[in-house]
Amino acid sequence: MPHSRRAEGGRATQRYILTRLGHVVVVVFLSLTAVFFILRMTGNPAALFVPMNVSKTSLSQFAHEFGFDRPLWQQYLTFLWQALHGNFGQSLAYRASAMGLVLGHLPATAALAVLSLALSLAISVPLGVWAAMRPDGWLDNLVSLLVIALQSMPIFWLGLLLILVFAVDLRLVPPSGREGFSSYILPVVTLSTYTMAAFLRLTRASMAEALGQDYIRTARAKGATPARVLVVHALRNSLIPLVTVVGLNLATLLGGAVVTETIFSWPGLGRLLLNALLNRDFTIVQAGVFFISAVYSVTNLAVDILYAAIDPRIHYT
Amino acid sequence: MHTGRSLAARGAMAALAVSMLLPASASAAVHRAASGHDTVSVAIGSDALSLIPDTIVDATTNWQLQQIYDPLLALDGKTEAVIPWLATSWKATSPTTWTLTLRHGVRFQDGEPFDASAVQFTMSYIQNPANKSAVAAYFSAVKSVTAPNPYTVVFHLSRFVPFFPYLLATEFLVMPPKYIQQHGLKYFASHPIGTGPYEFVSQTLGQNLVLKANPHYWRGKPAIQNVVFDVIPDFSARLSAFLAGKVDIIEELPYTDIPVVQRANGARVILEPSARFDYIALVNLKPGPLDNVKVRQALNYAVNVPLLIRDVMDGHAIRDPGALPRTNSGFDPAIRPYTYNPSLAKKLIEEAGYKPQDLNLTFSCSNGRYPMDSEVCQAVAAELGQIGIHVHVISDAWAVHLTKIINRTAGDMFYLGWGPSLYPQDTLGYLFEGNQTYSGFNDPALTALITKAETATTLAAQKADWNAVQVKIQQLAPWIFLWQQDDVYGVVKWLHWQPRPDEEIDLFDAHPVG
Repeated sequence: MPHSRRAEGGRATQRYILTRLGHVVVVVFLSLTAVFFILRMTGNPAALFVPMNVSKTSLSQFAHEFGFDRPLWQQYLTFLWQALHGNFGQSLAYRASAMGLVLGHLPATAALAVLSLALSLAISVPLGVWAAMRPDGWLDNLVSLLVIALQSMPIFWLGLLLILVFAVDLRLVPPSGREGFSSYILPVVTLSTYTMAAFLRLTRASMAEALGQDYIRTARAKGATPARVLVVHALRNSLIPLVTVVGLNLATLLGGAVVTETIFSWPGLGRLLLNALLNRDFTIVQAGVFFISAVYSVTNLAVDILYAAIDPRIHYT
Repeated sequence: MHTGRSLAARGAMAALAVSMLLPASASAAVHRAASGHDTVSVAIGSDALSLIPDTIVDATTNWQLQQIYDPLLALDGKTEAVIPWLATSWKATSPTTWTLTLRHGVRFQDGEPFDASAVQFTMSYIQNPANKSAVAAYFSAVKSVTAPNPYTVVFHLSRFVPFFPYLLATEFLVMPPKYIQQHGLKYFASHPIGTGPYEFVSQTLGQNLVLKANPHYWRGKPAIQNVVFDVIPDFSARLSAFLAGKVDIIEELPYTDIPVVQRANGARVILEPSARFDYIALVNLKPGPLDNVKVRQALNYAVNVPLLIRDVMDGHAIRDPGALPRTNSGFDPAIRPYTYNPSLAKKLIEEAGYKPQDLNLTFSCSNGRYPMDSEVCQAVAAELGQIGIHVHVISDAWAVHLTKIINRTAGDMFYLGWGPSLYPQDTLGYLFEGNQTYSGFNDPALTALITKAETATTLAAQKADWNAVQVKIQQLAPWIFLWQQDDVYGVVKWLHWQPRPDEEIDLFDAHPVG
């Protein structure tokens, strides 16, 4: 009975998603616990935070204000209880909501992540497909060379080089900051090389594999146009590994591209968290780790669910 | 239904993507329009953490807020002596009362007149526990502020605080009482108003603070119309922003990059002797060779400081003979530095019952926080090595180095800078009274001397007491005494601008050259 089988499948999917959501909660909880204790293993948060020329009275006042003078287990339980209510406390430096600051820096990071992924895909997918169509042709060899070059190039080096040439010497684009369209160009290009090599290699490999499959021969034999064979039959099937990698890269990039954001003085999440860590602003670090672990786990789950949409052979049980 | 949901999801994703791609802020327009010589952009290491003054102790925040607000007194940009500002004169009318005469005709940027009520309001803001002001500790001796008339204020203190004028110059930016009573602190925090040379325009966290000239400023309208503080934490990004013409002033230029700026078109380097000094702490908190005063003195004799200044610091430092730099009002010129004498150093170590070869010292060092810091550490280790002492240098990133010092795990010696050092209490009190973290040093006799200096009731007695403290420190050799570094700035050639020893950024006196 097709109907009941579909309903069963739907229930299985629901069950699968619920279980996976449970995993998300566990992962986030464990990350929060880890970051809470690791931060405190480095010393007394209040003493580490306050400037050098602050009196002992101010120090103890500060410790009291943020609850650092209470037993560790009390601090931990309070932290978890407040986190459960979405409250990650006040930033020690800014005296403003830590999560508010994290979310406030998200748009800059998200823009960088989405644009650089888009640029990376726009270049790597067509190139990869093209290279796979003529294995060992001149283009394929060129692509292999490009992959090696991109992968072995340190991103900070490329970023500094681009700044020197296009901002300092030619003055075509701003060297840093996020002000207007032109300020996006260098960081987006820099960051896209980070993913481009992997996408390119993956597209080429899975496309080459798909093109050798029986169903491609069948499609050709049926008289499908070469374009249709390439896009509908081969590309769609070779997308699955790419979706995974793109999804995971998106999750990573949403956590902030620390190196790129630092070099380009980009007001994003990565730089916020790095500076919070260096300045011992513990609450921002905790809020940031919560956000990143949640985004990462949820994206991971979304990618798995997407498989089914792309490949009908996949079922959840 | 399945399709519908995914469409909705796609729509939401697209909307999210679009909203994230919108340009960051309106301040971008201000910045771009300002290509002429009416705008100065200053690269700065971090945001102004709060726009309400007198709340957070953070130098970078203060440098930015000092454009919007004025202090009651100020420090001279060359000598660091206290000078009149919103108050035209100050006097200790008794050991525990300070009487100040206020300037007439000063207005806040919204037109509210400045008078004694603003001073009283500011002090009550600082001392109100609800405001959690970290500055409150500086004013713990203040019992009340009275106003015999609108242009006279009297501070009543519980004890003699000879450096009180310094506190009014460095920790007391005056706030507008009527404006805050009318709009509330929350509104004030995002719409700050002061009596200062620049008015607030906008702040984008992680990006910039934008200001415009206050046309009614009591010292006259500033020559520079717009000021932007560009937040660029990473040094290489600061340098490239400067070389690309995006910012006009950068600070903390490493000595090794001086030629890069000198070669650049339209840029020049300014060196300014800093009120910050560097030292090598000799930790005496645990039993061992550094517990012995002779060993600590020997280390001072074994290091050739003038040579280090010449060869490692490229001449960009002035030697400090003792624990106070020359910018400090309590600096005792009678103190003579240790002279380089390696054989005396060996002799002293032997008198202490050691052989130089027996000494195995760990030396923690920052890497890149102070000019040439890790290079200096290596050179010092080499000099101590010449008389046979084994020194193990550990160079760390600043955050790690500071963490080690605070947790007191930095080993036998550590390198640190301190500043601005303006009056004896702000240096000797913080670094030597009791068991102090940032010196890793404790000496009960020295603490007694400091307490005596702090509780003396006349200026003359204080002066003598602080001199005695400096003589004692010289003899105890808790540090290898080093120097005041030069601060190095990169500035565009079209701008006339003078840095200050205390590293504050005075933009009122800046103007285009010619």
